Amino acid sequence: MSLEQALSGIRVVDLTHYIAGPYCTKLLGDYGAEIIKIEPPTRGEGGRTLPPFFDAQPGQEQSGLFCFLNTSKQSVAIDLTRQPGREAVLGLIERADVVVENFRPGTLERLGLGQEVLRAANPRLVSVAISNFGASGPYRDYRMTDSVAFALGSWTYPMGELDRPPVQPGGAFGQYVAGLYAAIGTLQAVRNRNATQAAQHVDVSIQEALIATSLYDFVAFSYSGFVRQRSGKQFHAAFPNLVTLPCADGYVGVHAGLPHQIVALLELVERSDLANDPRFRNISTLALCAEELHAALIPWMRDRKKWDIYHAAQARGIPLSPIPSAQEVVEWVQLKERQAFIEVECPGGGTVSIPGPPSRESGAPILRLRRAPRVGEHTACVLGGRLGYSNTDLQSLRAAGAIN
Amino acid sequence: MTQPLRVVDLTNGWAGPLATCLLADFGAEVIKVESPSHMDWWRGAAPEVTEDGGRPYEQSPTFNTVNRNKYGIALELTHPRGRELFRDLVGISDVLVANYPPRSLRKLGIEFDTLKAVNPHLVMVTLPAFGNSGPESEYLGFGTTTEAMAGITGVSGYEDGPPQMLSNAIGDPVSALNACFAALVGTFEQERRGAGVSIDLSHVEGLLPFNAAALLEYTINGRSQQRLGNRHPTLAPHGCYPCQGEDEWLAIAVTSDEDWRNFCRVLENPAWTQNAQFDTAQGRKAAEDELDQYISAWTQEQEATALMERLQAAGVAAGVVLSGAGVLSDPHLAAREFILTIEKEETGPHFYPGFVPQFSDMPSVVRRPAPSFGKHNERIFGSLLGLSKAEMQRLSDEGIISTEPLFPSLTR
Repeated sequence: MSLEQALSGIRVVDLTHYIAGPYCTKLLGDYGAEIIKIEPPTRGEGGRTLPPFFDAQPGQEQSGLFCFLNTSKQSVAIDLTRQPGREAVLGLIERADVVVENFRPGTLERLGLGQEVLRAANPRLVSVAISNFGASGPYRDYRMTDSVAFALGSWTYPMGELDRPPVQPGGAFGQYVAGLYAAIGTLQAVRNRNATQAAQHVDVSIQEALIATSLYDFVAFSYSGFVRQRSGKQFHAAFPNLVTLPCADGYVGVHAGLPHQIVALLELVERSDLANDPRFRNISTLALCAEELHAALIPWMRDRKKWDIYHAAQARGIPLSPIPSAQEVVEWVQLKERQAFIEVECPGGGTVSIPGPPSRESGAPILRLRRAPRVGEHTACVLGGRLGYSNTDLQSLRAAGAIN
Repeated sequence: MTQPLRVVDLTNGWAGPLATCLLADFGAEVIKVESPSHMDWWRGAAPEVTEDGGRPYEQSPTFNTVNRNKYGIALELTHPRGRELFRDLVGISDVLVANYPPRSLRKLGIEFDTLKAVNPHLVMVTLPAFGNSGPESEYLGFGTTTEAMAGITGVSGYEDGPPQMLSNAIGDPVSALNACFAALVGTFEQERRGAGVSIDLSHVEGLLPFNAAALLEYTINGRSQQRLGNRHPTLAPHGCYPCQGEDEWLAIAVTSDEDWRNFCRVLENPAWTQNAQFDTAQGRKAAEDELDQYISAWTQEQEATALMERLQAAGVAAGVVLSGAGVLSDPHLAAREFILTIEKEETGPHFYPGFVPQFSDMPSVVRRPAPSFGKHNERIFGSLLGLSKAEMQRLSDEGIISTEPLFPSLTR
């Protein structure tokens, strides 16, 4: 027994593309839900064009990210702009529990697959929509990039040096945060539906997902009128004990949040003289001696390597980390020991090492994931098996370009 | 309505409390367990009542954000009777979420193998920073360091500067979402197998997907990415530009040649834009510094929100860099009624984040604000666990339950 079957029996029709939607359905699929991924015939969904690419060469079945985001799914290639294509999809939706989509708001309505049509086809359907700014409001149709998401999601403003522009966080994690919220919403709605038989629509905005996972600066502003300023290498102007510092081979991140951790840190860097100074033991006045604190830490760090500093600090109960590169993350012994990265096959052949499932049953083996599908790999099997289409039906649909 | 889940919440700080908050927002009966000798450290550094009768530990904006809709009790788990009552509570609950380090939980006897004796159907989620096994499982981590260990900090910061801790410690809220998802998966598994399940969630492992592109670039091509600041590897212009007023900024991203032509139209095609080099992404990327200077000189004369609207109307991606104050005046969030007002006795009404996701047919509601310390002791120990008034008084006299923090705790 393991969690890989937990969601078995939940049938999902997956109309998603790129990152946020596919991450949502991947999570559901990896834990056992049946995911039928509808893709445009021939070229497949846009996520197949996302870097990084195998051999650093873009091309069909070359996206490594796609291999990660689409494990545990079946691909059915259907052209939604054609009537027989829409009919096939509605047939699948009739027999499903959940539809997930992340088109721009209004797209499904234009395709004749709006809420009312879906609910008519399946009165107990859970439909989940992920979009940049949600399904309503003045920014509904605004364009979003990761940089715009982080700006309007309130992540960028407090980050960076005060005398430079704010700096956005690295990567594209807003997309993943929204995908994870959508997966949570899906399970909550399915639980509710199982009890009430009532349909449900779930609306996830990437902007709201980012604000809801920020440190609630606006709540603090509501309480005190305080606006958090950028504070460079420190996490916060009031917390010089939460800081990134240079060392012999890169950087470390210090999070000595409690007074006894600051004392332990000063002892670690052989500055017990300062450890007895009451100014360093009082978190509320620590900001006043920020430079002194950093000046005490830096010379010791400068002669030592990040992983050595990490182990030495943790041995004294100080929350401190190296700041690893991608290579160092992948080679980190703790992750290796726990098999945090797993090998999966690629649709185009070969294998790729990807992050494994976020949670696991204690003591159980790591989940086994099925590889991402080739475009239309399961079209005949799903339309034949689930909807009873005959070989002749499939041939004529294929000839008409409605499926592939 | 489905039978609401009963959740025992043995968590503090951010990751654990936000996980159970998401369950509470949806209707779960969440019972937050603090201890008379240790209040949740997100309540702040001062467990004492002030001279004028104020309770600063009831006035923490962050604590009050992630603990709404919960019941709160204060129970001394280092005392055998306290642990007994905790087991009784787990015995009548569906889910236990705990975010203390593995060693602390073992010391308190809070382990799945012992708890399943009192509740064979228990779904238990523990979320230590580095997981429950492996050589570094007892190491300490917080959002700022777990995000680093997933490789996210290393790719954050200016292109010419050091790595930068993220403004909002993504390690914590992401672990919260992962824990909430895990708890829900656990309830499905529990129903499927008719028996409880124990789930191990490592903060760092749950964060790896959020850095998937950079990690895969290494596992596939052996390359580690560099910091890019506000820039993009192939597109330009792409940055944070200064606008009228103090510390006002607009993020602008030109993602195609067509975007560039639209962008120039909004600028009214000044002479400097009429350079053939700028017609292609490659040419613009090569002249990025020069472009940024021209654009900044122009944006400085513009009002950020108005410029965002004009650029978006022309199809160019742009977003105001919102501060905390900016979030409260954002018209879109207001139109979607995302910002909620919640009133707590000790603070009066304040603004809080709303619900993600939004549901059509079962609107989430705020049933109560974050609990004052030990506020629901009577309800939980009396009505739910059936203790008599006399017995509760005895427990209170012995410091096993309390409605006030009893010792200055080691918080900041």
